[in-house]
Amino acid sequence: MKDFNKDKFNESISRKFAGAEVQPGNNVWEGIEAELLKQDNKRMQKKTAFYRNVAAAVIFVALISIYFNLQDLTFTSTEDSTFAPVNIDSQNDQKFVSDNDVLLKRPDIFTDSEDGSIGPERMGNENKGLAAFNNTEEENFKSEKIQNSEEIFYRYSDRELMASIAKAESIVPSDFALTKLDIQVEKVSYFAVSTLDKPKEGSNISWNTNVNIGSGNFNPNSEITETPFFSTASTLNNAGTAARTVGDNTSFNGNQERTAVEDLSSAPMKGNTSFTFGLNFGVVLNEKWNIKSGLQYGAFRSSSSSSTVLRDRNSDELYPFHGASSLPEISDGRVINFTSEYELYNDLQILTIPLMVSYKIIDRKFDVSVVAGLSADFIIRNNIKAGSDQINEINFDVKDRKSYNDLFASSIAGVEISYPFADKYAISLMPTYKRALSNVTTDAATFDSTPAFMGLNMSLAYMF
Amino acid sequence: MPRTKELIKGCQNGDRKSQYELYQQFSSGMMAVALRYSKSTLEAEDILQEGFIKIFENIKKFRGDSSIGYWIKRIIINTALNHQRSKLYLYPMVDVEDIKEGVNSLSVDTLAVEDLMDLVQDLPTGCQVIFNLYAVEGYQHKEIAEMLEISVGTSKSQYARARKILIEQIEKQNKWGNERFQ
Repeated sequence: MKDFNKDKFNESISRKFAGAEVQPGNNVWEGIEAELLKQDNKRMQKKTAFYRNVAAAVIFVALISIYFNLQDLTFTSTEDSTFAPVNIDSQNDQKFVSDNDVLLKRPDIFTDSEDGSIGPERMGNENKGLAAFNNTEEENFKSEKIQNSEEIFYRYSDRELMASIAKAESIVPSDFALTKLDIQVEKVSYFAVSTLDKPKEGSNISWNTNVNIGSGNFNPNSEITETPFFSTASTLNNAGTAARTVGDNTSFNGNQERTAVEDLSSAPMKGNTSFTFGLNFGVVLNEKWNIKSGLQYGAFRSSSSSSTVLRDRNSDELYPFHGASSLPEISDGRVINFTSEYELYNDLQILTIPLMVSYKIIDRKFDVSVVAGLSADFIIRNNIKAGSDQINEINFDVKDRKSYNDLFASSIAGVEISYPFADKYAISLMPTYKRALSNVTTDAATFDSTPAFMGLNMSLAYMF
Repeated sequence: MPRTKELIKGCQNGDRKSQYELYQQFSSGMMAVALRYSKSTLEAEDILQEGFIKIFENIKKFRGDSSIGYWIKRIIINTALNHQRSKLYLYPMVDVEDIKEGVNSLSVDTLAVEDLMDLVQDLPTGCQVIFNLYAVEGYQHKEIAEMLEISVGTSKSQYARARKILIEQIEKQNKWGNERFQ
């Protein structure tokens, strides 16, 4: 700022305003803070987007590398069981074999003689010659004359062999034929080295604890087959009335009741969050096959809507009208009333004994197996609750045989992705689909139900 | 002042507490500045709010070449000018020499700040801005012309007009004040 506008008037004005202070309203800072918060959120979102993109790129690269790594490279011998000289330039012919298999790798055959010939006397400890070694035998360097003086096999340690490869020249005598060792050649994996680090598959038995979270449609209203109408006992009332019809008024009452049941049956059903947890034990049959069983406890939840209640004529209490409202219930002094729509919740508690078989299809750092099996399911408890304080809940326990069978069978299918670690442990994720094999309701029930459950099973296994 | 330096550093790091403290330290003075450039308290608060948001957005660029108070004031004034830019009414040119310096400092000194503020706020918008820039902040007409993208002549005429109006208003107020005491 300049101060040479030397006018008395201006000076006095300037002096007057110099130290002037006026308190702003509180809303000013609130507005500033809100805007700063907005800017902070924008910055956070940008950061989040950046990290998300980085994570996506990493996952993408990992998937691509896994895909390419799944392409096996194989090593094959020639038809006449002799090794043809390998052109060192053809790198694709040089393979590695996993442990316990013979490494039939052709090293670089080279010579320092002028005519290119190789004689045993020229071969020494400087790593020249055909090397074949078996990791199960000692890895020290040896020289051994196996057949005639022209054919010499050396056993090298891994390091020396690698060193010899590094020193190799690019010339291979074209007429140099080597006799194959009498050792079976097997297909190998590019990840052969990594298999050395895998936990020993010595244990055949494993325990795992697991928890399964998903969504189920164990709902008694899913497939109502007939109305609970019983002409001489049932009464239909409209909401707010207590009129009762007796006698054979099946046509009118039946229509209304049928409507109520149809509405109930056609109400959209929502699978709420369900979970199971339990213990399984497994037996490894071989590298690929695994069988397991155990005990699971599950709480299966679903919901739908209803606009019908059962009213107890004696106590005037209301109960949810649902597909499990069987004949005795209706005839036992309870009448049907129409109400405004309310939420209907069904919680089933089930004990399950599964028997599952898994087949490993991918055996790498992550194992992938397909799983299939059956389970025996015992209904422990069935609770039907309305989303209204005015309507009582209904509980069916083990002793209640009105609507559900005690025991039913289900089929299970899933894909298990597991990751072994720390030699004896493995964690796994297994999306599963489970479905009852048949109707789970009794003959007395007025509905059919073949419940299904879809979830994600997470487990931690310990292998003995 | 070490405390101010800490505050500035905190604001540069986005620390809300430091930002609030800085705001508290300078808000009342800057509100007075904003009032001089606006027509109402509401408008002044808008200018203040917008100004401080810009201050916190750009405080990382503050290098300490000038005092923080001066830097903040510049931002508030620029914000006020942006607000007023579209409202600059252009008055006919008036020859500066025609304006007489008839008012002595005494008559202005007797006025309360609030009253003087009201008089300045009552000026037409174009005059108000240029008067503040010239008489209070001390800018030259050339600088004002560049800032407001007007001609130097317009700046001079607007200032002259503002001064004339203010003097007339102050004389009126002084006259009323004298008459009351009599």
